[in-house]
Amino acid sequence: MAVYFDFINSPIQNFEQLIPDTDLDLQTGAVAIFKGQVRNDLINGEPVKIIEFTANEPLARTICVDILESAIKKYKLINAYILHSLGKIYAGETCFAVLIEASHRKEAFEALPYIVDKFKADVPVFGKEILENGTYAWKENQ
Amino acid sequence: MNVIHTKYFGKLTDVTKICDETITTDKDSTISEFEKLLIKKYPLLRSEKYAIFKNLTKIDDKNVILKNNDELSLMPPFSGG
Repeated sequence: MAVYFDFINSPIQNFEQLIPDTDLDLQTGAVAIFKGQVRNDLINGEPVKIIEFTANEPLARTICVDILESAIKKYKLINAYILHSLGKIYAGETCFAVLIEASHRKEAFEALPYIVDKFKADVPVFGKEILENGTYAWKENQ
Repeated sequence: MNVIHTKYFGKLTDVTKICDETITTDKDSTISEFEKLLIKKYPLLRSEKYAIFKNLTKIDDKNVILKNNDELSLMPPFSGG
């Protein structure tokens, strides 16, 4: 069983290659991936150009590992990984990625939204949405 | 005399204009008393929503006493992911 979380100071590209090598588990039958991208939402009529992410990094690391370990236990996963970007990420770029390995697709499909939702609710990451006109607004998760 | 390491995150940095500072108090204070001191320094904090963490633990009881070199983090609602 492996859990891994890290911040990366860039957009996330080639996600699977960014995860440290783990032994191939021959019991893995399903891999589920979620990628979150910055959307060019309209705020007061202006599109979002960039989201600048900051975080309480020590606390985020502790909470993320707890989330992943609870997901592994709850859904009997094999491995679970999260990456999140810090700094300025442009619309269209990936800022958040989750990868789950499980024996069967049922556990993988159920665990993925659990992890994504818990991350969004519980992990101290903050997004400043910088608009095309240079003004900004603070992101609020739905 | 107590030294409290205070950190501000996200939207709160618009109010404080800084991410962190060290505040010295003459005597022991509860988190509630310390928070009043912060609001006196940054009045706009009063209208912001935030959670308080002491040394990486969320605080629900503001009667907890702050000790020398404690770290207090004020964090608005999270918006990662």
